[in-house]
Amino acid sequence: MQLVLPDFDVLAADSVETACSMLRAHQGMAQFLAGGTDLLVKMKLRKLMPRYLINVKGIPGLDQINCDGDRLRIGALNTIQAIQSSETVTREIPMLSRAAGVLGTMPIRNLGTLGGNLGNASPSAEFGPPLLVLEASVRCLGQGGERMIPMTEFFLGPGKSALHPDEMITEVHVPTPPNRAKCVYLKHSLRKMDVAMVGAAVLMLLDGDVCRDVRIALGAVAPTPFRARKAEAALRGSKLAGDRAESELLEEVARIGSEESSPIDDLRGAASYRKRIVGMLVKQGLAQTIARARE
Amino acid sequence: MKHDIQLQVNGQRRAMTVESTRTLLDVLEEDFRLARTKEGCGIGECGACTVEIDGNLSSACLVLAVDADQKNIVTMEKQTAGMPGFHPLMEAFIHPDDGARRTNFASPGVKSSAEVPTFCHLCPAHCSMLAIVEDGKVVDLEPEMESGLYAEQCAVNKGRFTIPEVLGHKDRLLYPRKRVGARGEGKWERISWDEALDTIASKFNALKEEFGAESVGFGLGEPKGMEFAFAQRLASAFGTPSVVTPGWCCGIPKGMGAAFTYGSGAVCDDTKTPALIVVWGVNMAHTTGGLRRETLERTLETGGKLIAIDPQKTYVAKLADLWIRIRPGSDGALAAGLLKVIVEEKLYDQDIVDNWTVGFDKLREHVASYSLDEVEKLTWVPRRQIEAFARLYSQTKPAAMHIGNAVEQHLNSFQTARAVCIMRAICGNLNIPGGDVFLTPPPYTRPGSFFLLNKYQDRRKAKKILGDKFKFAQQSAFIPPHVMNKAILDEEPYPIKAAMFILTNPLVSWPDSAETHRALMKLDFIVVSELFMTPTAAMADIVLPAAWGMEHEELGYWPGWHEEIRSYPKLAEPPDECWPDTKIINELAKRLGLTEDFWGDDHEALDLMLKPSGLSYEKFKNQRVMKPTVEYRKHYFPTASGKIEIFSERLQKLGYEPMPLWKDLGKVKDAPEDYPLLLTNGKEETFMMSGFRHVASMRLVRPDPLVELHPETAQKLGLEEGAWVYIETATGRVKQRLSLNRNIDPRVVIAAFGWWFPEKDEPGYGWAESNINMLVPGGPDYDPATGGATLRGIACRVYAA
Repeated sequence: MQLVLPDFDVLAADSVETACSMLRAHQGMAQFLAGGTDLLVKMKLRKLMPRYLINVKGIPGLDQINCDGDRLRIGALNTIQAIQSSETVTREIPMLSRAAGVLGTMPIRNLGTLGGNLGNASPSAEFGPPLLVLEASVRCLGQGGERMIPMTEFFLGPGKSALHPDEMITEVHVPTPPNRAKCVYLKHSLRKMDVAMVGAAVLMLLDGDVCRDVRIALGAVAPTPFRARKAEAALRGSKLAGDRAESELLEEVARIGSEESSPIDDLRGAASYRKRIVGMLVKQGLAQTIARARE
Repeated sequence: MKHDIQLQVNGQRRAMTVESTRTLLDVLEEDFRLARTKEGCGIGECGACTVEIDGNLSSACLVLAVDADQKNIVTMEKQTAGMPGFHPLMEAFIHPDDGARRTNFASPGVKSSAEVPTFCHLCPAHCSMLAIVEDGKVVDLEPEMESGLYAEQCAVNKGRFTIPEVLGHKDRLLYPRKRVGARGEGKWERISWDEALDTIASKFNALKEEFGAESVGFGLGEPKGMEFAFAQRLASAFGTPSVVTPGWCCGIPKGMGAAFTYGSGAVCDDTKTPALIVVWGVNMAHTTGGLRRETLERTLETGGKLIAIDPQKTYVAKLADLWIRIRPGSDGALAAGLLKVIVEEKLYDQDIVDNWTVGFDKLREHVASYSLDEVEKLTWVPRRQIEAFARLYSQTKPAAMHIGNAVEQHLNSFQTARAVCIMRAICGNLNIPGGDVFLTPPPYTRPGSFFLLNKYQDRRKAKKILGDKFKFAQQSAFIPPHVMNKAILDEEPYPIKAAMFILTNPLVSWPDSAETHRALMKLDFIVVSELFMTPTAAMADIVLPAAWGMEHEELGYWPGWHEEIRSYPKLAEPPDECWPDTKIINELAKRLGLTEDFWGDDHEALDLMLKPSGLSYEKFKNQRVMKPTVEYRKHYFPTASGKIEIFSERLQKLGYEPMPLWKDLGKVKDAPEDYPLLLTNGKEETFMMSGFRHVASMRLVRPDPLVELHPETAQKLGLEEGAWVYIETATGRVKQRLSLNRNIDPRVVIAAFGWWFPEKDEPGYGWAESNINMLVPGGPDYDPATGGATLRGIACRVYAA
């Protein structure tokens, strides 16, 4: 049969405060409606049936993208497509713009929002790995006031974020990477338009022939997107001389990254297959960023 | 909650009041009557509903109508309305991201890439596709828009997404295996093809010796290429009439109804544009073995009308000028009501009735014996709708009437088909351009003759198993499934000891799964050829890994009533040791000593099929298709009398009612107190029957079986939406997840079809948990002409799990 939506009322919020108080007032029976590309799908499939949808798209000021010198402030209501095509993002953090570009298809990117992608907190959230390596933080507002949640503390489990039940994401702060850092986001999926089966973001800061800093984040291969700390530790500070020792080291780092992941079996692929892909993407990510750093 | 909005769609501004829950897509379909923008998956995956909102392409199924207020909406119709077929501008909306649908098999740096025209083999619509082949792998199937052949894929693009994924799927069966351990235990040992086929042949021959060839049965599904024909040919040469096919619930009731009324099958004339289309129990946005979605779009865009008959508010129901929300199971009664109105209001073509019918007076007398009130009571359709339907259909020319499988799945389906054919014929919609027309087949070997039925009529004796019953089954080379189960379980009229199944999953798709399971357990020997391990394959003694469409050269002629033959080129190597079914059957036949009727190589049969055309298969591949011609012969009825036989002496001689009667058409069982609701279902949009639950890209669209109830019914029963509920009939019970839908009648339950769970780590994959056929009795009663059982409108109850 074709899918109909369950019963609900949609309420329009005109400010973040109103939205949060509506959420509080209908506790447990309401959800924010931004792009709807995750929420309405869950509702049609009867996974979630909120009685009230609080439409936040009318709240002004949440779709800006600003550059404050050393960081970007991206409003939560920016659509994925807006992030992809933003001159500011493309100039300051091209990896982020490219990550936005591989999410779904255009008709989805034009509806879905950054706030929604994060709030949905899927293990395969497309912005998870990129924002983790960029060490971004999420600004949110709730009854207790405003706070910043570092990305590393944001994802708690599949579909679960650190947001309190009455909080709304308003902005994401993304520090611009250090000048000579190179970043990449690689995604493996069955079809390009699919959700990632494995996502890997790498940030590499090469200082001469020393890896000054490396950050590796993986998505879709654990209950949440996460930083592969052990893999990073095995590489950080190491000498990279462009020789056989280097490629062996990168293999080892990739293997450690793969070990750190805990993917599941599903219709798309076995856990073992996914682990192999983790290794491949980490290795590719490292190789690519190192090569670009050396140019 | 209601909202006042202003919508601007393709330049047309309209003020409306909409409920919170209405999507923009709903409004575009129902209020703006857009026919090309449609719902496929409903969750933003397929692109069928893509519209431009303030310059941005967006999935209309995920936009609330309220959110479209004051926005400038442009749809694909703006530039493509009125175009005859599927146009690149439509595809530009549906699939704007070049390459995004390609399956990621190819290693980085593609070495070879080819685009090859072919056809989808998933459903009988066989849309023309352009296969994108990279490094020997099919990675995408784009609509092929150059040839002029039908290219608009089903809304959800199930072929496009399913086929590449299946061709490279990690769970494909790769080698023959035999059972070790108990039947159904799930323990296998790999064997060679030689061992597999030798075992099967010696088993079959031994049984033939001891119990007769009829003790070996075959179960076949819907033809894709030539495999069905090969299996029928094998059955004939081997000498067994014990062959189950889907004919009893698909094609035969309609085909026989037509044959006995006007002497030939008729199909909707897609080559012209009807002024009225009737869509009865079918939804061609998703699956069609007949009228094309392009034809419907064209009809509506040129001001044509649409009548849809369906218990569900499908795409066609939303667009219809008249949506008849029929009580499941009462199509015969509706047909009787329509005939009554047409006859009594003299809406028929006078000349045709006066000069070209036999038995009209009998019909006129008979329709007086029942009332429209009775029809209304049985069908739940208000009499004014029945009248409106009859008047519109008889007075609008040309009118094409497309009857779906749903109408063929009752005890009275043959007589219902007869009534519909009579209606069609006396209203003058037969053999007129844009109506329903006879086809003259192009020159290729008739499938029936390929089956060698005539050559081996002394070996393959249908009478042995069917006796005097179900004569149309006998004539159409099949037995209904309940006959096979009975022969296995009760050994009546003779024992069936072994069975071979191809293209089919009987444990999930035959009525009364529990009985089918007992039958499979009782068999001595089961062979299954399959793409994946399925609940039926799990019960086999030998499982053979099948190659699929695009993995070998093929001809497809299905659906037979469209009299068309197509070439399907080989595009990829089959994985590992997979063999196409035609090869499996060919090699088995040789080992059974039937070399006379088979070949050195199974592909030699392709030339045989094309022989009457003078073309070899290789030559034919250049033109890809041979189509029938339409002659529009007026007053041409190749029946015994040369006229439209409202009353058929031939039927009378066969022992069947010579004219459709109210006593049969009005046969609708009441729901008893303990099972007060009526169960029905539709075809799954995302899957093919019980197949392809493994396909990740489709499974995410319909991850689990949903059952629909009206909110009031659910409330009365104290049921929670989203929870698993039991659906129970006198035959069995299953669990499905509850979804509430105001659009259905509160007395109806719409369940999901064909569910089992390949991801379940247990032999049998949960075949009894959510499978609707656990609920469906295999009969008696049966349609006396075809042996069919009733699949729709079964009394049931629903309660919390």
